[in-house]
Amino acid sequence: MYEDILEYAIDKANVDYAEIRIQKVEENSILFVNGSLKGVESIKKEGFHIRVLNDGMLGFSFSNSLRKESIIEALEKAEKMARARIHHAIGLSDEKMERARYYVRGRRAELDEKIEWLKDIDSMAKEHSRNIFYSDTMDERYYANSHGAMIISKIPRIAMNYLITVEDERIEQMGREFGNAGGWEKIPSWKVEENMSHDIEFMKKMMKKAEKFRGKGDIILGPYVTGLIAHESCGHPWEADRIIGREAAQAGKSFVNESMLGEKFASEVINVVDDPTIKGSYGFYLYDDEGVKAEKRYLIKNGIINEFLHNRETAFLMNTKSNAAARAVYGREPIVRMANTYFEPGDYRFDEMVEEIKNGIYMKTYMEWNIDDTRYNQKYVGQEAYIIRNGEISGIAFHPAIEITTPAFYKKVDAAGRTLEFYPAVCGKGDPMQGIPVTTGGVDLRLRDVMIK
Amino acid sequence: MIDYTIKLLEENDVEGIVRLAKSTEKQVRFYNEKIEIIKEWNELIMHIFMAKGKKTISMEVDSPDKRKIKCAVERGIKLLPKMADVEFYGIEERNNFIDDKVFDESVIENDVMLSIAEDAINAGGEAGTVYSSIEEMEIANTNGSMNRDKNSMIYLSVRAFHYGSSGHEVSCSRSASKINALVAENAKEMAKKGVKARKGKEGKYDVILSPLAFANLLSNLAFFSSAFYVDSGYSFLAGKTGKKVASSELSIYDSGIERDGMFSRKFDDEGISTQETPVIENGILKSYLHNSTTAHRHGVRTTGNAGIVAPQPWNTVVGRGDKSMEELMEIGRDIIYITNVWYTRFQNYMTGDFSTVARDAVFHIKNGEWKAIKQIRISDNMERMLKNIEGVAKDAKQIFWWEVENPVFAPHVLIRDVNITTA
Repeated sequence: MYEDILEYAIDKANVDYAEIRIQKVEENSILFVNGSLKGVESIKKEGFHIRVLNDGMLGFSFSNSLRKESIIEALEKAEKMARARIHHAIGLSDEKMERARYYVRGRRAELDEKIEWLKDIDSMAKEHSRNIFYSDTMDERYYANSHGAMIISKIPRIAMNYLITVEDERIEQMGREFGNAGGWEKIPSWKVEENMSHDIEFMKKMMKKAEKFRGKGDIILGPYVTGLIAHESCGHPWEADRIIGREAAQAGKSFVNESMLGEKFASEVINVVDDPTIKGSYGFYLYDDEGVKAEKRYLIKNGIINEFLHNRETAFLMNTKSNAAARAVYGREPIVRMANTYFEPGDYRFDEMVEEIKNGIYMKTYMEWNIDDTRYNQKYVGQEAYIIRNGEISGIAFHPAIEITTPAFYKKVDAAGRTLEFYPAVCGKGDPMQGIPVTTGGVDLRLRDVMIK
Repeated sequence: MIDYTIKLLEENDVEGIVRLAKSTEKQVRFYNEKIEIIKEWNELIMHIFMAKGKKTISMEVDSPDKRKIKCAVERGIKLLPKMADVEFYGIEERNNFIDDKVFDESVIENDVMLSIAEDAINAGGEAGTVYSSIEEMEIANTNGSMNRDKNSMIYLSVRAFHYGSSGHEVSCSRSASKINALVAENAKEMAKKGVKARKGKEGKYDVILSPLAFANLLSNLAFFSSAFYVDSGYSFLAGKTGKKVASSELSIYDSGIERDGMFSRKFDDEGISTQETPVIENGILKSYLHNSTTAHRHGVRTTGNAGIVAPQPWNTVVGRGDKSMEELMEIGRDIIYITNVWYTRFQNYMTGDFSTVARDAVFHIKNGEWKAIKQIRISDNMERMLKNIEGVAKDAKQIFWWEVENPVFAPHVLIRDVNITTA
């Protein structure tokens, strides 16, 4: 559809490198608050993104006018910006440039069908304060660059999240997110009703009886928590643009440096993967936004730092190959991003992990978490959490928290569970901010001798 | 185009608000002391809000022309009957527009931005960004009102490093001439002072927050003061109007008319004039931020902060304090001075339990002696901290950057007995 425009723009470019991405995004969202429909929004965006490289300096130009003359004007602006200064160090790694098109199918529901479903979900929590947000998007991309790539893709995504507040003598809150690449057919797999009912009942139980746990103990972190940890304390510090300092003033640097590749970093049971090619996943893609074919990447393999996440700029600077981690959202430049980041399964059953704990905690979900800007010092506070005593789950734990350094966390894991679960998230990075769909995935992990607060 | 859209809505007997925004945004980014990329965004976007009785829908049309507008309006009209009823009581009217804010078209000039970035690098900045935008806006509704506005903004965010330690500074304005690239020198000085930091110790401390750190907390507070978040379970300010939520030292205003405020606007998304709204006065919660709908629900007048669905803060302004930084140091006993924070996350929005990670240089100050520390976070409760503010400095500056997404005019503050935790 836009192939001619792409080729025309690339032919016109008079710089070392040029790329153009035409993107059309349709987004529909619905918001319910406390049983009342608060808003329905329908947005259709279309624009093009030109990025050029000249004498090591980058220029980027975006416009939401798809007229041919606008594209040429933007190309000239990007070229002018790239010529404004010279930056000798920057280049792009040599890669096999792909020419492909791929589409993900997904059923599109009518507005009234969506509203009815959301009303049903909302009514399940009608005794409590609640906020329910639904969105579906269709993301259509037409990409070409002067090194020969041409990628056309169409990916629908569907997502929802809720926050429930239960009030009695105290106030407790729980939130969850659901999301996939695909359409309305994904909804049953989310088991929203089941999850929401579980969360409400748990908060009610927690109000009645929850025990504080303070001191050293063992801890099992469930997949919902470990998925976040894989993302925050492995995925992010393994992003090569952080390592080289490109994000230093915003999302920060990394405690990891280039010389640590091949170093033993974690317990041998730890394998962390980032894989964009998982079908139906929220972070799914087959070719990145620089025309490189996506692949499964082992960030940590048997406890050893195996590879970082690269786009072509960081791969050039570290004298390696891109592993197709360049991603962009509408209106933004492609930068190094995660896709679906997860701990690979180990060989422990959950009950085996519990049996071997005398005194500790099982943290199943969290609300509060944060991590410093080198991804070294992190905190997770449990929401659904239980006490473990003498090999058995013995009651509800009241908001247990762990604050731990990343190296300490990865060394203290002594067992990884068999069951892998995925949870969708929107990852924030870049300047201006680029919220991008990803999946965090995890298995149960057991850590020994951890300070629990 | 805006007339055409209003006419289409009227022909279809639909109430509506149409807003047309034309913007140019620019950015110069640098790292490792070199400029790496210059970016430019040009957009023309039309927002159409349509209402028929209690059924409403919002549409957005990119780079609109008559064909796209007609298509969007027809789609909206087709979808409206499928909607459930929403809470909508029409749009209030208020026309006391104040518009003496600064406008500076030069903020988006390449040379201006490059020169700021290079001055910041020369002053010790290792990485950062110069970001600017100009925007022209038109708004009209089916009641016959129409208005125009134009805005400019620019900011420098710069970070300096020294042997593993770091410092961060910003300079923000509506005018390029007010950007001070030499703030990078302060960032470098903090980075130098922060070297050889030792891990901090957990406990309760008197904490001095820099404007950068305090602004981070107040940018969260600004959203908590939006009636939408109050009603949605996202705010510890719910049900506390007229009650004490902060120390009597603290007053906070939301201002859409601040002369140099980066988010100052002549009118909100409903076309209603913006104003200065007292949110907290001498520690008492005075008002939430409202649009017409939330105001009707709460039985008050709109504060001119629409967002059609959620009222939004403009510029958050802290009432002028009366102390110098030196006086804050004198009041404090066992002090931790936090120059920046990030990653503020809540365990419970309704109670205000949260934590935030200290970023950049941190100091433990006792008996006048400064020692650099690291690896600490504030793990406390937002309301408790606001109530424990004991000193507000008179050095407020405008803060806006990657971690503070709405501008805050924030000073140094001293807060008693803040809970500090470590990894």
